[in-house]
Amino acid sequence: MAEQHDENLLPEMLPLYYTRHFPQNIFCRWLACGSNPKPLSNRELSFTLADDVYLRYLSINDQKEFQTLLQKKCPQKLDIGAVYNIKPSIGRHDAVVLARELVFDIDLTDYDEVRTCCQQAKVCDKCWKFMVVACEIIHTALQDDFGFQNILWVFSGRRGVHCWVSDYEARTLDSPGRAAVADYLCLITGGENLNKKVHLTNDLHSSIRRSLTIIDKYFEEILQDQEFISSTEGLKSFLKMIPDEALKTLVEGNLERMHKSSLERWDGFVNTYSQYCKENINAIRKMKYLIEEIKIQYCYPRLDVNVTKGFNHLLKSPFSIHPKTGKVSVVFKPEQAKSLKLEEIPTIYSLLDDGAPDNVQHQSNMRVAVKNFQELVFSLEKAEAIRRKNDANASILEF
Amino acid sequence: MSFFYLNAVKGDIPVHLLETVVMKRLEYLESIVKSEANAYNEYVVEGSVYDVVGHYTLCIVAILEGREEFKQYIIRGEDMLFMRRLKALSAYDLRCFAKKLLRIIRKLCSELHCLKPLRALCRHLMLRDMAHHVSSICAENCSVHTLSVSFKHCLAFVAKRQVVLENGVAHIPCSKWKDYLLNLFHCNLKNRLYKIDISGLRHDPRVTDLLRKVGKEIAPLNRFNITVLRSLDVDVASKMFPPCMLHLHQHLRNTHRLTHDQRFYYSLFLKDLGMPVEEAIMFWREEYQKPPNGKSACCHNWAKDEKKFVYGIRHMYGLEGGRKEYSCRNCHQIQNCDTVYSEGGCPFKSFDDNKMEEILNISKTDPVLSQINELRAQRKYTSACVTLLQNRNANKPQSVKGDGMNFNFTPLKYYLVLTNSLTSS
Repeated sequence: MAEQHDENLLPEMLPLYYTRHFPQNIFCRWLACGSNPKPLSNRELSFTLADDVYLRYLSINDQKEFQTLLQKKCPQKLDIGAVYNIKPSIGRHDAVVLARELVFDIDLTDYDEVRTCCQQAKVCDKCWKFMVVACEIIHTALQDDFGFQNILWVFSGRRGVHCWVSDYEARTLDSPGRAAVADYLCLITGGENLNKKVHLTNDLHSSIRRSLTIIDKYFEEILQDQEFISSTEGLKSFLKMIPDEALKTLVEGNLERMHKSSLERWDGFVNTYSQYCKENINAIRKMKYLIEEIKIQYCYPRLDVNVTKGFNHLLKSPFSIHPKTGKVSVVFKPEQAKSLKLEEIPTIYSLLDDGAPDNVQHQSNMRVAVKNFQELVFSLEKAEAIRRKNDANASILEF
Repeated sequence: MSFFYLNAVKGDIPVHLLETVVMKRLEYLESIVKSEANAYNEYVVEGSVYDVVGHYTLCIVAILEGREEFKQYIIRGEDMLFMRRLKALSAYDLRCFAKKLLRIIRKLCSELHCLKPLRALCRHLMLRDMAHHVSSICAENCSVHTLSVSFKHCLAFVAKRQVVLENGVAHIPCSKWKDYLLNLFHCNLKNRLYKIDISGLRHDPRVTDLLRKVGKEIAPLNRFNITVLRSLDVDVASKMFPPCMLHLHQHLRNTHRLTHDQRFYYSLFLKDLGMPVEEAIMFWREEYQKPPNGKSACCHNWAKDEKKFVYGIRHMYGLEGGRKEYSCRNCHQIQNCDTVYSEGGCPFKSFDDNKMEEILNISKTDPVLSQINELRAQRKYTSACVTLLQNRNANKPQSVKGDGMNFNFTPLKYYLVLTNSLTSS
């Protein structure tokens, strides 16, 4: 498998990729459907060309124009923006945002303070499990709590995932609405100056209970992979999450004596905590959900809330190529996130090189990704048609 | 007429009486905000003509007066008044309140966002057993009755996870109905103060007279002297910075890098302090030309990203792109913006105790620290900062009225008060 790839080859390869592999037709249908009732031309796109040249306020009328634009400009990065009241190329700064998919961005660098296998740009199948948990928790909340149906999950190209909700109710959600959804889903707050970032109150909300059930499915596995509390430093960070000094000392003493295995140490902690709470009834009041808070701080999704709250934030398009990794931002189904292997994700190099060893596998995975995308767009179009019909009927009744 | 203030009242009133009504209302709201006991005030009898006229005219004053802190102050006062009145209603009064609102809603021509859920709630409250339950029996976690509304109509509850959601529908338990009514009232009032354009009234002599009278009463915070802040003056000036900005400044000096949002907030703060755009470019260049000290989430350096930085700084000053001028975020925004990798934030909220004490530079035995910690425990982070400011400012001759500060407090205000740049009008 080619680890080394030459970014300088991209300008030659991208035009081929855009023509042969990028699902232009479905992409345009997805955007057009999401721009409804406005036309596709009111949607903003942005391109980043070679040498960091940035083009904003681009728009297209149809797929043919999109194809021409791609060939002409050959963007290294393709971003999608909001739907405006007029064509963005005309309106520019004065155009008013009308709608935009509800989006979420989860990046593994936000887990750097807890993941031990990788840091910064590096990512592996072990820390990918955090993304699996994040997908399941967010997807379930969006469906069950908010009633959203058209939820697109996209690999971001290097170390994270994006989520696009295309339901009409989501697209037309205003800024305060987006902020409320982001805050609802956000349990981890506080920056690098705060050690304990999760505080649960007396009544655990149903969504938090559900998230904990999901975390529990993967917790032991992640604990064994990451060995959070095996190293001296890891144990120190863990202890900082315990608000009671006496308990902290007790746990430190017990765990330091134990074998390095995080799983064993965790069980040791749980036992120490339970015993301590039985003996000190007051402690329960301050730390009723300590175990849950720690699990959440380690495993719960860390969203970039600014991306969700912003209405006109430009976000990377599905099926674009990441310039540093060459990987395709593939669409995947949340229930298949666990079986997604990072080295099996198609890259522009393997797709265009028939001789590459992973060419066949990557081409097949690409087809699956495009099919996932297609299924979602079809169901979105159907939902939109039903909605338009209902609206038309409703207005007739009113009249 | 209802004290929910869904619609204004028609009629004529002498101007001098209008002024009295408004000034008395403002006085009454002031005492409510300060939680003082208030005597009977004939101008604020709920649902009376004076009450409604006073409310709407005060709204006009707040909109035209323009200052953010005054608007927030009025909203707080009216919210507290509404809640006080609501809690005092008997079951019978509650039913009347609900029925009256339903009658008004039926006749309303405008399409207000809050009308649908308000109508739904009032339909529940007008029923005898529901009104009785809500007024007397309903305890803190009671959910004998539920009201189902779209999640979009109770965003405040959703954001704090105070309500169960199912398929986009929020199920509000009866124990929260009064809070929900307050929420609807609050949203309606905010809409009125922020989304309605009455600039046509600005030159009406009756209004200008009133504005002048009100202007004399409220805390005069609007005049301040801003001198030019140069890049080499920042280290000295930082001694007067609020904890949040001081921390960012120190972090920048130590590591030579700040992540995007923190860089943005700090740049805006320096701009509002009077740093001209050329000085800003010099300031950031000096730091970003140095290599980062230690691990930083920011991967930029001046050599590679100069063009982007200069564009970004100029954009902030309204010299590029949309030419929009930005100003420093207020405390509320900074407190609600903490991301996991952020090196900044409000120290009173997002820092561990020892980190906070370090940046505040006060000893553990200082009595003001326990005051601050008590406020932090109550989640009153801005009040904690104001307490610190008042403590530091105690020896200075000019100190501004305490209660005016908590509304729309910003890092800039902290600096201005401490450096005595604020002068009364």
